[in-house]
Amino acid sequence: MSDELPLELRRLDVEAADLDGHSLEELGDYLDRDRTPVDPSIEASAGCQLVLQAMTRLRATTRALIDADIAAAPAPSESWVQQILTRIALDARAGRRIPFVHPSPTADLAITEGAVRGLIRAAELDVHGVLIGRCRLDGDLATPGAPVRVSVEASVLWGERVPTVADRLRAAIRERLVAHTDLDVQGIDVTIRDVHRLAGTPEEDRS
Amino acid sequence: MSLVPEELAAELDELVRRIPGVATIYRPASLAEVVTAARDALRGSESALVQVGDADGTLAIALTIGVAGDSAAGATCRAVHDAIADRLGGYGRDAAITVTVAHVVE
Repeated sequence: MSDELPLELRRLDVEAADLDGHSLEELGDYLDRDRTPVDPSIEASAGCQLVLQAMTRLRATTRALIDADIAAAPAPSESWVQQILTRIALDARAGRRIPFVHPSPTADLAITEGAVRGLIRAAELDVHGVLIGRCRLDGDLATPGAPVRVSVEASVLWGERVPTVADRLRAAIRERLVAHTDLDVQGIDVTIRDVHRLAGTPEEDRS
Repeated sequence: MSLVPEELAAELDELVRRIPGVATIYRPASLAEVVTAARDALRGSESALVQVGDADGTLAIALTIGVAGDSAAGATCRAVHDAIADRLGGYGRDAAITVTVAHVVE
């Protein structure tokens, strides 16, 4: 499936150890096979699941990009898509443990930084056409209640009003963080690095 | 009461998977544990993914879970802890319980 894409999604150098011994290429092949036969080693790996989830969203968007009228405008650069894939893989690393408070002194409850970055990336689902690249959490994540700042870089659809998209993305990220973490998010910085075009984008919106 | 670690791990594995919001239990992350899991997969067997051990004389339970996207990760994490603590309390045992959310499944 991905072999049909002009954008080569496979040539990446990411440490297999970050993905419990699996490579991005293996995970790409696994998606090509519609996750069959089921690979218990991949299915039981949180890192692999984070990558597969993000890769599925990215593929859906890039496929629409390939279907677009590329005669009217150049396709997004291969390097940019590779950058996103690399960030996805790097973000899948567990990273720091972000605690959940519990009254028991023997309870040690937390969500991983990798899971939180996955949550942030999944905000793509709420803002049509947005692709999130770099994603960073700044602050003392290990201390409950400490102020935290989130920074993301993203690409938006050609013709969309950038401030509006940034506001929607910021709101979607905040909603997910409030729902799933105890983080005290002081701010979410959204930097739009690029624009891209999807199939069916009206010509008048492209100016 | 003496608890057999392997049996307790299997019991807690089953208990945790029934808790609302828990989508899955992930394989432990250390290399040795990954090798064990891979060996089990090759043999067609599957060991419990809840780790049961001893930390300075205290029973220690550790597990890594995936949480369903429509459930709150924090609440689910606490529910898992409380369910395990309740079960162990029934055996008259306390434990250090470590629960980590590694993925919110959407």
